[in-house]
Amino acid sequence: MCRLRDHAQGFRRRPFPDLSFFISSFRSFCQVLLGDMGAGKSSLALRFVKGQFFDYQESTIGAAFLTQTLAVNETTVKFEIWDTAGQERYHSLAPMYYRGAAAAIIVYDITNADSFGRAKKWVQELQRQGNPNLVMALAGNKADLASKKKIEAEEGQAYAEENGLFFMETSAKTAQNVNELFYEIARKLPKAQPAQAAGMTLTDRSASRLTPAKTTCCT
Amino acid sequence: MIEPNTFDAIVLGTGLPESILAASIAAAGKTVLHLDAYEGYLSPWASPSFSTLSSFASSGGCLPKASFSAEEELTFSPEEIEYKILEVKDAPALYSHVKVSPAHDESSLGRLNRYSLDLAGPKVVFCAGPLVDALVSAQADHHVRFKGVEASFIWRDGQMTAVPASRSDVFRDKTLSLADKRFLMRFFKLVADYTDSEGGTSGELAAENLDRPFVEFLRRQQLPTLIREIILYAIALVDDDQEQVSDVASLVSTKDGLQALALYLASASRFPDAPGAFLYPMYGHGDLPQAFCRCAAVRGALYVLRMPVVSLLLDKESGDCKGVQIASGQVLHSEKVIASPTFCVEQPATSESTPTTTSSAVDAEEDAHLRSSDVPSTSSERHETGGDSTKVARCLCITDQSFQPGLSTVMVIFPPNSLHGRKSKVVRALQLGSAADVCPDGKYIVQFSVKCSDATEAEETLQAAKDALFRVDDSEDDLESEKPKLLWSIFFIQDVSNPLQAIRGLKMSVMPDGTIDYRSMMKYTETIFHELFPEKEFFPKLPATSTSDEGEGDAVADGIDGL
Amino acid sequence: MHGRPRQRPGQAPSPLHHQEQAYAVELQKLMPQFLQSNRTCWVFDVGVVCSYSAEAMNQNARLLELNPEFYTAWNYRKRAVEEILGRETDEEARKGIAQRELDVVVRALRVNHKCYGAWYHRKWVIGLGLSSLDAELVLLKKLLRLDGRNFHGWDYRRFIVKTKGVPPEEAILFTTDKINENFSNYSAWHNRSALLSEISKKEGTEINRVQAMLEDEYDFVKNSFYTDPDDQSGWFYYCWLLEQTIALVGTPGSDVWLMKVLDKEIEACRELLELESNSKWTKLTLARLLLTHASYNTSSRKSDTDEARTHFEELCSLDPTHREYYQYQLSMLSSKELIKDRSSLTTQHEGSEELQLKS
Repeated sequence: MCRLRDHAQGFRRRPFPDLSFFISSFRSFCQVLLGDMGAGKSSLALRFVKGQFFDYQESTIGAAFLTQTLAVNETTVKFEIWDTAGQERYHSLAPMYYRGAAAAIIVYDITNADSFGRAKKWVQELQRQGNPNLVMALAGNKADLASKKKIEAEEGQAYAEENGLFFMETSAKTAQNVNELFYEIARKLPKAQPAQAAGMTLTDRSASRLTPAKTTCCT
Repeated sequence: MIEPNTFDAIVLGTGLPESILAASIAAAGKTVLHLDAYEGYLSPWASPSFSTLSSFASSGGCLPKASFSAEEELTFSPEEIEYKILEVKDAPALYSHVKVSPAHDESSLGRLNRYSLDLAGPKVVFCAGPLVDALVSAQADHHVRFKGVEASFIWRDGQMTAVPASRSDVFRDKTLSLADKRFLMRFFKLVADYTDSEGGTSGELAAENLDRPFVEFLRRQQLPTLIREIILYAIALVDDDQEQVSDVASLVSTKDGLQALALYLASASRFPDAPGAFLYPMYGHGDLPQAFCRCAAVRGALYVLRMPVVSLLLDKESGDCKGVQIASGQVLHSEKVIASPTFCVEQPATSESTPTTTSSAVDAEEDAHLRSSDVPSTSSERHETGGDSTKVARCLCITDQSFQPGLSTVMVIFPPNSLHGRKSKVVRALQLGSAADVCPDGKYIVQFSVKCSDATEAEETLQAAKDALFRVDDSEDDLESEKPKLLWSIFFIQDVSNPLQAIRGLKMSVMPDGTIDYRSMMKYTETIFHELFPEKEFFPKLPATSTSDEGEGDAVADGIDGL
Repeated sequence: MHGRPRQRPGQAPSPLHHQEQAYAVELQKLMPQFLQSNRTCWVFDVGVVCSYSAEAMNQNARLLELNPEFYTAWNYRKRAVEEILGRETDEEARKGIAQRELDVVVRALRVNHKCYGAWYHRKWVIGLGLSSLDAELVLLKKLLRLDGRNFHGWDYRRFIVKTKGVPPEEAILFTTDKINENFSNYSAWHNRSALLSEISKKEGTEINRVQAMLEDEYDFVKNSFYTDPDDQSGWFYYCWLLEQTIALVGTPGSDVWLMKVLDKEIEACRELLELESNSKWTKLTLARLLLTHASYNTSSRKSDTDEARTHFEELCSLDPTHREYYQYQLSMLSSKELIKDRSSLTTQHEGSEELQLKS
């Protein structure tokens, strides 16, 4: 019976046990980005994770999620940022998208009044999900296009305060406030590691190197 | 309006087979539009909330549709259609005999929004089965977490006996004698040798013996009756009584039996974190289609929910599928359309006869022909010969405690003749708790299913299974009072028969069947894929990267996830 | 490094190589800095208060992460922590310092989980009494679930259990769980044997209790070779049990008990051999049991040794790899019999002398 082990495993080196759970200060969170198409969700994530910016970012970036690790006050916070993958376009996001999230950034384009209106809709949608511990941030993106500004910072700030979000104006292009936004979220996240959704992933330790995490977002 | 308006494939409905097809077609580099009339990925494969299931029950078995509101993005001025139009309707009577036994006091159920109730339950996923392979190849595995089924039991002589399915199970089992342990392990070894030999076996397992009935093979192994029953019904998961056969077609061949065992054994040892051979997706089976849809979307598939399809468009000359028209009036073009069996398309009138709907029988000969060409016969479906036997009765129960103290995710098999009144059918039950995040803490969901040829009989059979597991209210018996109390339940009968169609380019997907796993569904799904895209590979395997090439430091970041 | 092919000139370096180079550069930078602070600290140690700067501590932690086998750095760290703790009076802060040390250890273990220096440092930190032992047990449970045979993990667990004062009767339950999970886990069996010895050696343990305990163990371990007769770990443990059983000889009532146990075990092995006529381990163990039986029971000596001899003879062809060992056992058997024959001759001779004297 032992010989029935996953064939691939037989040729792999004996897995090296990962000891990260011994580190008291390591926390891992799932985070989602919401907002209108073209508001700059993917650009913000890419700027934060890879330090890149493209003027003509394709609307689908082809990655299910991106990861980035931050050191905040002696603790290490790992973000797993889920992209909407275009499912937001006709409001067709799967319920699973919201469920595991510890933090959400709602993004609008400061040069587009409609996108601000729709950002409010997303806030309502999140409030409907009823997760009281969700850390929510409102990001007015494309701050570099100040001359075309349609939504003043004060307006965004006021709406955010009313609804218990924190607010920043960001620019994925100039990197203005991008890291600050994520650091602020990391600071607001609960100090203790949340009880991870119990249950296992389909990959054992040794096979985890074959998961898409690596190939899709870190190369 | 939806842009663009031409796709390589249009998928209607977000059931599991449709979602897998959307993901596999998108992975093959084709453009996909995925449409669904419902809100929130509802389908016969979904795990609706308590309130959604309640409205399902009160409507007599209709999935509550989202109200279609012409959102501004979707507004469209109708155009002239140069195609032949076939009206698309909801398939009638997918569900029948819906009965709810309401709670005496709804507050005893706890927070109702914490429930996810599998419409297709009970179902489990084989660790080494094709669905797991598809999840991994599609890279959907990241989105779903699983709970391993902690233990399986077989109901025998009025009590539960643990199913020893792995080396460790056999080691720690307290009911088997030492000699029985050796018999069982020797038998497992035989199966392993059969798997390793890849068919080139001799003697007992020579090719000519493989077509003989599995049950005869087991008898020749001189296995004790209990072990034989465990192997047949709890490990090979055979559907029909093998000992007293009414219909020779329901006998499982040695080959099929051995393959089922091999899959089971491979599953039991695949994931170190899984206690046994089966997995259950956290938050219910409804997360599986969502995960595949996300993968499809990541690869560029376009998603539009709350969008009913009103008609199917055919070429006036050839009668081939050309696209669909949606409720906003827009026409979307594609020569390949996959539709969930919740839809029903008018059959194209081939002669002067009146159009017949797909679900009503065409003439018997054509029926048989279509079935054999369009629906691959699987061991579970092959023997179903029309009528009511293509139905399955399901029952979802909410209880106040686990029927196996200390365990939460548990499967129970009731083999033929084991229940009160000697019910001849195999009944399967799956208990789930808050560990699988499908109900509030302290509550449990127990799902039952049985193949159904007669509604009354099926209901009686499931009632007998419920009586075996749950407390009979007015009993003074001490043993009874330790059993869980049934708080709420719903019973329904679901149609499993697959709609027929004869339109080139249109493929109908399937309803959840009466089996406990996803093998036949996966087989069917893969067949549809190959028929539509013969030149493409169904979920190409990911290139395997060698572990040793990566720095150990990186292990940290991804390692934490599992803990 | 061992087993890694030499880099050919002109061959593109692997990504791993780049990473290693980056580490090397970092190490080159950190080493002199560390040695400098290490030296300063030795100088100051002679009477003057040495101050360990936060920067030096961070450098040291990074250094240990890059090269966990650098014992001098662990020693430096130990002295530093002692000094820092000496200055700190706030209990919470002291706990925080200890926690930071535990984290440094993990970072090092992630690079090399077999690093003795790191495990030693962890034990030392725990010994300070500032950390939760229960938390350590929880972590160990996770570690041993990922890697059930991690020798360091088991060793460290024994240390924690001892520090916490968990009675061996309770600690043994953990090994039962681990064995139930996977009975091929030799580390778990080994740990179990260590704990059982501890119980039997404990003052005031009654002989009856030890006997009952051993009998239970026989029943427990038998499941392993009835499940898989080819798995060695159960058989090894079985041999250990047999040794413990024999060790009781001489204590009151043990001789009768020994024969009872041996009879029962011989019977069990014969039964298994009936089902698995070619099982090497069953044959070998049965032969050993028979020889033990023979040495304590003269009446069946001849039949026991004869049966053992056939088993050894069969083993020679069944397991040719260890043929020499079986032949050695066979030759020992013959010579022993020779000696026994001779001694019986002497006895006879002496007896006749006695007779002569009397007459």
